[in-house]
Amino acid sequence: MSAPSTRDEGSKLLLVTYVVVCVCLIIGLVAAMKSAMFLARNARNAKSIETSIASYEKWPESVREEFRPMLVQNGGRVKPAYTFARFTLLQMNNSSAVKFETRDGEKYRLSPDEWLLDVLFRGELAKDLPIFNVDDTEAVSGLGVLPKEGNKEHHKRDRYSYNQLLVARGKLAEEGRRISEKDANYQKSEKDPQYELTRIEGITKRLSQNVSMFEYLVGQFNVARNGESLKLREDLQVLAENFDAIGLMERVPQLTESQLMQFVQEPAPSPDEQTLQSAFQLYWFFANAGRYFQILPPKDPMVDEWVSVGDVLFQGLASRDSRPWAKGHLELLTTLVRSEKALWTGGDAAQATFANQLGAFVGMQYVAASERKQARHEALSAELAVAENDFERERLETRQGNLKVEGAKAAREVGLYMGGAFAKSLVCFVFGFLVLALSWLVPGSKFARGITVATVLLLGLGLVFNVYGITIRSVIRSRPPITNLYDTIIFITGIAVFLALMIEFFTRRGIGLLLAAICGAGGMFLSIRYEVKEAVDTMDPLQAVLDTNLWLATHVTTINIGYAAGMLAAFLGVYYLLYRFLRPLKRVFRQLRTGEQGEIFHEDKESRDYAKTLVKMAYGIVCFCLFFSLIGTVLGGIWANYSWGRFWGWDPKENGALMICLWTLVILHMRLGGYAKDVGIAVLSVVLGVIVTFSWWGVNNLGVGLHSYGFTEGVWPALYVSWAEAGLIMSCGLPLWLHGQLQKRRKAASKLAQA
Amino acid sequence: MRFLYKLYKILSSYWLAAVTLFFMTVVTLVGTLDQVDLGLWEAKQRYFHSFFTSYKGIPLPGGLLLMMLLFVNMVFGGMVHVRKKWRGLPLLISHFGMLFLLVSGFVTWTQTRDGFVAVYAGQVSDRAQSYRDWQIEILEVNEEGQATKAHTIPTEVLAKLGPTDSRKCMSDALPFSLTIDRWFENAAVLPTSAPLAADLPGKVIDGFKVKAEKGAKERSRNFPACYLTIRPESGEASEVILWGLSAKYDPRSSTSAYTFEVAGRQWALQLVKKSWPIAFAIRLDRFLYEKHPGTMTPKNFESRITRLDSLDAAEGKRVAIQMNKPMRHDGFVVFQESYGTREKGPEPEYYSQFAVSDNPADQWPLYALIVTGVGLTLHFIMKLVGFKGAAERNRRQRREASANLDSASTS
Repeated sequence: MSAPSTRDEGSKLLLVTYVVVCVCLIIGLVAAMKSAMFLARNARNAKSIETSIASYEKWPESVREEFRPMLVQNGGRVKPAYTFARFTLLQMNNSSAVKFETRDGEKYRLSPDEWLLDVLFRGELAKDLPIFNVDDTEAVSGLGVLPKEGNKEHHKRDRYSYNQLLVARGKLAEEGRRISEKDANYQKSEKDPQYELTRIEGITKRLSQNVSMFEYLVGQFNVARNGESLKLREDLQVLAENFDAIGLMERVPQLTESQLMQFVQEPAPSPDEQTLQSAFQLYWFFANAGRYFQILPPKDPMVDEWVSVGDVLFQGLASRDSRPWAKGHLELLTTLVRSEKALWTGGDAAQATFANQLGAFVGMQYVAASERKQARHEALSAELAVAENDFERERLETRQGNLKVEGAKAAREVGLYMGGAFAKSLVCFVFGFLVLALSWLVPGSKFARGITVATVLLLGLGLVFNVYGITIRSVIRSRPPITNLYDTIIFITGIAVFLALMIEFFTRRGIGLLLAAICGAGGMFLSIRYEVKEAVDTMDPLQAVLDTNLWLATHVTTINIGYAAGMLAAFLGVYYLLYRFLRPLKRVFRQLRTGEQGEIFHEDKESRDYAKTLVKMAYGIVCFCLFFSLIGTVLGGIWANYSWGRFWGWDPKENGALMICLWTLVILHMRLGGYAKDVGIAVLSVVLGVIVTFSWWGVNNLGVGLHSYGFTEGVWPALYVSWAEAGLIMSCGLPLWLHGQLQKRRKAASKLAQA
Repeated sequence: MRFLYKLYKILSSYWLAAVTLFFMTVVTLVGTLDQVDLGLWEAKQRYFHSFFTSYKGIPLPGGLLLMMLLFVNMVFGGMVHVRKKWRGLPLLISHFGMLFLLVSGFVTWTQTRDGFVAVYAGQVSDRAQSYRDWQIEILEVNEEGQATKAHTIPTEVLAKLGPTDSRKCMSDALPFSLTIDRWFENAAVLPTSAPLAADLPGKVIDGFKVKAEKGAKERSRNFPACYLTIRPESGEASEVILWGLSAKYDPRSSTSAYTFEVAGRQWALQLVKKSWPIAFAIRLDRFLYEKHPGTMTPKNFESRITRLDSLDAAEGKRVAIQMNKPMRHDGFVVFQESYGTREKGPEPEYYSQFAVSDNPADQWPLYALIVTGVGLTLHFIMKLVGFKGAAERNRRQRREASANLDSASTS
């Protein structure tokens, strides 16, 4: 007689738990949406994009084509101007496109190459473009810059032009210096909280750096501009209009940079010398202003550093031997800058002339790069010929074998960025998801089957774009696919999509397609957001400890395959929990409304089989994750033993990988021991996802350990939100577990009754 | 016997495996998080090299205990208890590989001595120094000013001392006793004229005071100091301050030892890092430090050395040691670790620092990886084949059921 009352109490408890979890899920969903809306509102720029520019004339396509592959040495490598412009713009503007509206009401959207052309050749116009992203207007209003019209509230993000910030230039520089000193103390004091930068200070520091960088870029070609758009002393302005740097260089004996500085600072003994001194003041000014943009190959082919226009001016003055070289470069540059002036008034012929001049300049760079490699090869051959022993010979031969033509893959790099393989991949995954969602409207129909084929094609195409992009990046760098945190995102996305499609291939249940679409779209979106947030070239050269293709190809690749599998297992766990939890939602509402009694989780055989398949898949993926994580972790230890002298050092990154191995082993042993059944495995898989995100992102944010090349900042809020959501989804397992317990008790009671 | 059998059942159980692995995950997590505040060394000692630990007041088993339990569980559960069928062979192999990995970890932990050798170009060294362990050396000095014999107050004694402790050290071989009055793990020695020394408590010796500093998170950056009293068997006692180093480490600068005379003989005292001989001498011929152009990012560290049989040998084997390319010889492994300089200017001379390790289990993890990898590969291939077969069968059944349903509805 006791069985019915037990069942009633149990059912009641189950119902209450179900409702509580439902409420928690709704609260969690609302909180997530609220925080997303809050972030979106803060991240939104002011709608006003008006500028004081009267009208804007676009750069001809022929000019842009010549300009994009122009070589620039920056961040330790020689890269195309397009890449340089793209990441500089991301850093300043938080976007790789410049949007603005002229006074004549026309709206424009500039690509990175167009913007850089404006900065280098039409500096005055570029100063009016709204490119300085300020995440919080408080950072600039405190310096005396008025918030823009339509953005009077504080704490909103907005973009300012250089001319709009000019009023606070002095204060900004002062603040920038103070904040940099404070930041240096923070690093020196092993992160003493008293030196920690506030959010506004962080924004101000970045703005100050960006404004300085912009000023340098605008001033690169000043020496060839005949004093245009310069605000100089009257006598200097007159001199600047007829300034002849080459003539001045040839008039004087050798003068080092410090000697020149001394000369321009000392009072001139006679009026004649005063004129000369003024001319050299201008020379010094132009040389200093032109010292950022390293676009010219150095005179000595054995020197790694390329030089800027400013360096050419200083080096030409310092050595008579360098003057023909300097003269050649300066003449080429002057011709280029002057032919640009005719571009806007001279019609098609002038356009062609400027494009040709630009092409000649870029051609000179490529020829020089090739000659540099040849010269280095010959120099090493000469050293080889007189090498004393096999040891030296071997070292020299290795160096000779490693010689490369700088910028040889620049055109391919421009093609990669212009082609937007990753953006296309994102579009395919998003469309794949939408098309898949269509098939849910008419399940089991012929239409749905056709739609499924379309989904497979779209997702496959997305994967192809992803793999193509990764391959091209590997080819450009001559490296395995992963060398930095950005690479991990696109690689893990590719692997997760591939695994999900493999699941679909084995099971044909549609689950693999859904997971592929979610992982693909989510991963590619994350990669784009991360690139914008970091705003640094993602193909910069590696530091010494990572300079090993063997370990990058083995340890790094396997460990990231493990991450991808861990995330996929977690998604499967989430899907299982939500699938089983949400199915009886209607029934529960009915029971609550009418007070009727009955099973909540009444599942037919097909649903049970489907849920079982989900768990099987999750378990299979957990095994896959263990295999790659374990191999990857031990390989990492062996690499550490080669480079740092110990196999294991309990470094945060090592610990993160270890935790993934340990947790997968927990899942496996709990399943083998019968302590975790379907619901348990699903919940533990979601925990695995939490551990993977901690290992992938969290440990990089701790800022301690030997893996400093992977450190990042500002990801904790996103991680906390994702972990909270994972926790809520895991709570769906509680009513499911209670249901399982109830079923067990009922079976036991029925057996007892039968006995 | 019954008790032993029960114990065996527990030790070989999945339950113990799951619980141990769970706590290892937890301990690894908290040990990682606490590195931010404690630093690596302290966190390692507290969480991973202990039997019991706690995090924010919550008691937890320590890493050492957990690894021992895991070892026992793997031996009984993964090797002895497991069914000896060919299907179970891959798992047996994997468990053996993991056991071997744990053994190699244990051997490394107990047997390895890690140290470093730092040399400028042209310098030779055949001794490795400890990163963290200090000792007081008492040197007998001959008439030429050279040390003829060394006595030490070892690290083990100094490690137990604190800023308020006092410890008397005596030896039959010495005509005096030494009393360490106060020991500071990390300290600065300041002249009394320095503003920071104004309100500093403690004795003034020869115009200097010791200022206790907060221990660095990276313990190798600590420079200890102590007050020392020298008491000859007859005659007056004298006091001295000993300090690790006055500035950053530089292999060219010799530690300024404190010299004194007792019983007609010259003696010297110095507080130095513990050192030990290695099987060969290293002469640095050239140190190459390249940066990527226009950046501070290191591109390549390379030390071209000559490995000599002894300090005095003229000829030896030339070797290039780079990041990721260590030199293995005579049981020792020499790695390119770092570099440094105390000079300023555009082209300072750098010294090269090598990590030196004599780990008997150096390559064991590699062997363990191969064994485990083979085991897991076989296991998962078998599982995958099984899963594929089951999935095929399910699909066939579903198709048949759906065909039956269609024909039933048509009829």
